[in-house]
Amino acid sequence: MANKIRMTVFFEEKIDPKEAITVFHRWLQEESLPGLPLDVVDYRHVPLGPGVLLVGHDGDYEVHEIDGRSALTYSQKRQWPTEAKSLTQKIEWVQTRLRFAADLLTRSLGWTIDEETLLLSFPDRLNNPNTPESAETMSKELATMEPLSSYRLEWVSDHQEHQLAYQLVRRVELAKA
Amino acid sequence: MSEQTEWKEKLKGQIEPLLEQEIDLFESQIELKRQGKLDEKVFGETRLRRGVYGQRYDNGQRHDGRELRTLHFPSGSLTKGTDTVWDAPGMQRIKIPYGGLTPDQLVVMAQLAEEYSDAILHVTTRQDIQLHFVHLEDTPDLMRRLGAVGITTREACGNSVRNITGCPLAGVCRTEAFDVTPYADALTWFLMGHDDIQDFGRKFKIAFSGCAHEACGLVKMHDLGYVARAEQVDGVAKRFFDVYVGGGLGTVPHQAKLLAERVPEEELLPQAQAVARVFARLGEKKNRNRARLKFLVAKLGIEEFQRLVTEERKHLPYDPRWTAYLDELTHLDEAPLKPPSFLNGASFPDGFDAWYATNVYFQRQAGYTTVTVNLPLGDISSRQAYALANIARRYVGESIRTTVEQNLVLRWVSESDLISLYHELRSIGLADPGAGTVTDITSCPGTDTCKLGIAASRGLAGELRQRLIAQSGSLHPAVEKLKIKISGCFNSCGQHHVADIGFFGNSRRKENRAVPHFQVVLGGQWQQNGGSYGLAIGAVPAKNIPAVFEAITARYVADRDGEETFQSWTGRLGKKEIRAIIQPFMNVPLFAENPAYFSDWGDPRPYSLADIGIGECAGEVVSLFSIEVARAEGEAFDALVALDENRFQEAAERAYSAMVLAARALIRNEFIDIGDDSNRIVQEFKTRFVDTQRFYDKYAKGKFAQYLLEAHHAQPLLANADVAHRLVEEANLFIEAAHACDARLAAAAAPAVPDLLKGLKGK
Repeated sequence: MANKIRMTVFFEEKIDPKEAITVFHRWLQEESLPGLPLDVVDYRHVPLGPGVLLVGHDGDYEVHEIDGRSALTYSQKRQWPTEAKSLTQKIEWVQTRLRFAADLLTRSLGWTIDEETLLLSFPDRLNNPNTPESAETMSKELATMEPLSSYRLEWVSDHQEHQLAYQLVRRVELAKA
Repeated sequence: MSEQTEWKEKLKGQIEPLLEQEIDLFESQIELKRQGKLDEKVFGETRLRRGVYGQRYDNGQRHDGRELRTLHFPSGSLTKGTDTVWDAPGMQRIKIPYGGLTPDQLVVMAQLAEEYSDAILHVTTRQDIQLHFVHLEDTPDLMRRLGAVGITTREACGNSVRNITGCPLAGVCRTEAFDVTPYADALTWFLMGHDDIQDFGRKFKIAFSGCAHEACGLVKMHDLGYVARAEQVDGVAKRFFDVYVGGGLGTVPHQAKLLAERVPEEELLPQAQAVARVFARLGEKKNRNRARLKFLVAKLGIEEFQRLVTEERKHLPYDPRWTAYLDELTHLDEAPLKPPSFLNGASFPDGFDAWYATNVYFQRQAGYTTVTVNLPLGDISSRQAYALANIARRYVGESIRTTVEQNLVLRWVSESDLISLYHELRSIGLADPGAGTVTDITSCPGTDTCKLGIAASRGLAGELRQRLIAQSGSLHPAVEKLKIKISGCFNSCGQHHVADIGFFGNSRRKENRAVPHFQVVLGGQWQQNGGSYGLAIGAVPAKNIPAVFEAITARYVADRDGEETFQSWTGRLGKKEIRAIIQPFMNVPLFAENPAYFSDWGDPRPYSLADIGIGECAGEVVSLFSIEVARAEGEAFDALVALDENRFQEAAERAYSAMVLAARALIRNEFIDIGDDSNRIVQEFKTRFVDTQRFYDKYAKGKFAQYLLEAHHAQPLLANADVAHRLVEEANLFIEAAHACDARLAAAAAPAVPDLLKGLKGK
């Protein structure tokens, strides 16, 4: 059922997503990832697309480009663990999976994660339509969550056809502290 | 399933009631299957008829480059069809009749791609849109959301009438007889779910063209095709169709035959119904490899088929729908959003000229153009689709269509808007020039997602596209015009038969390792509705295809006589000469010299480990089979040459002989003293490989074996052009099947090993 949640981190450097193809295949061989990853798909020819995709039964990993920046996205799409009941727990789960893959990539290819910005989105339009009301409710809820407390939330698009998404920018004062 | 209920509730009243009921029923059938209360095969076909298709690895097995691995889906042993795991992701095909789309529909499909798929919409060679990696349990909601914007997936797959295609320029074309859109629309809805199409042995494809000489709907390669024809009768403008039947690509391509000329518009629907009834009644049902309409037409002969359809038509009970739509023929007419205008000397931005030259078509309505949005490999991302829908709303209103070349077109663009439209398309990566040129390569999904794929057609298409774009500006104009089409296997979904230069995937062995190859198919005709088919020249290692392309086109540029077309040139040069061009590229180096040949384009895994065996010495191991089958290949090639030179009897005899030799090659692995007597060879082949099903392909079953058995049974045969052409095609496929059989037998005996990804270890 489509209660997908997506989270994205950015790389400090401009990377070539092609490098991820071999790494993703290697991860499949070595069963490096949790869950049930299935196959690697190369969508580098599609602008604004998923780039290099490691598609899985429960979640997908994408090495792609967003607004000119190289990024890694994890989407949990099904098989939520029983312990991830609340939205906070689900976001923590997605963040854990994303961080795990980011660390692996960092170790494999030497890429560096930019800790200052995250993207968080909720493609499930039934439960999370991209309306001002829904966005405000979600913003308030997210603002109270411990894993996101050091970030400032910005609603990405008010276009109702798009998915509900936020850019999370680390608060300057917290970052300095 | 609570969320499914919620979409159901949310969209209540927004879906056409019959469609809503069908989706509810399908959801119930899913539940029944889950509970084990629905037969496997029945559910499989039910699922297909809703466009819910299988995808690669859906048997729960994937080779990861080192070993065959079981994918441990949570559903365990639960299946959704024969050998298809319940939880395995699948493909959802969405029917887009004649390619007609609105921006709202495009947006909904983009949303579905984001929520249930991988955020990619894939335009197919039959104007459908496909989503990949979709879970079965998400499909009812997906269908409801499509239904709410007037789209159905009904009969998108399975043994049914597939998407009815049509020329994307219908209604705006400068050379069409009339707009075929309302007729394609009427036939779509008339046949969908019709009682007379529920008992087909195979799929049934229909196409419409506005004129005979362009490619348009590729009528000649369809089961049933219509070419518009306008005439004055007693001073009154009347509309007719020339109707073709029995065309098709697939493993053995057939050109459609003329069923009837000047069929009046009033007869369009009842005649189609009569054809459907004849096909349902007399078409093959047991052997799916002979079940397409083309085989029935070939078996009966076109005259007998015409007689049967005429008789059937006489006995059809009257249906008011046959002509009711003719009173509303204009209901699909498109009103332009903006008044007509002209560029009138405006200065062009960078890149505009190239785009304008290839992607802009001047409509017959002065001041308007149709703009092709060139989609690489037929893919558009959800984010691009949202933006494109908004662009369409502002520039053209409702008028978007998909094309059989896997692109989108925006119709009714007012000419003076072209510059701003170009800027907007460029900002979302959709202003690539080269639509309809050599860089606009068509490809089926191939091994990326198709469970039948043998080689990476998309990988090759991407590689060729990149190289050709890099040369843009320096390519010879005659090369720029060429069409490249690529299929991942012999099933022709990439329509390689109607390309100037086509490729289809196959495999060969070297040192007991599998090597991805593509068969080179040259000289097909795109114009005249796919007027003639190319012929296979030889199989080349996948990694050599770019070099083969360069060699062939360089020779074409050097040799062509004036404005000679590629098709004429290949005809003039002859297959022997062309074979000589590709010959230097047909060899595979030793693995130790160049391991890259042993993996496919875009996939670093070894191409296949299933048939790897390590030889006892470092030298090249050539099996007895390899030596013997080379004789068969030589004979098949000579058959091709004879066919090329209109020596049909000789072509047929050589084709038969090639099959006998290939069968002999397999037998000699086990029975060295088989001898040369064809009766004995065929008998031994039947006993050893057919009766035991060892020659059977997993999907094609015994189809290829039948080619030899039938040809043998027909000896001595008298061949005309059609028979010779068919036998030559069959001989090539039989040899491919012999290679595959040998590989399977070797796999059964071989251990595995090497690791082409080893270089990354430790990284």
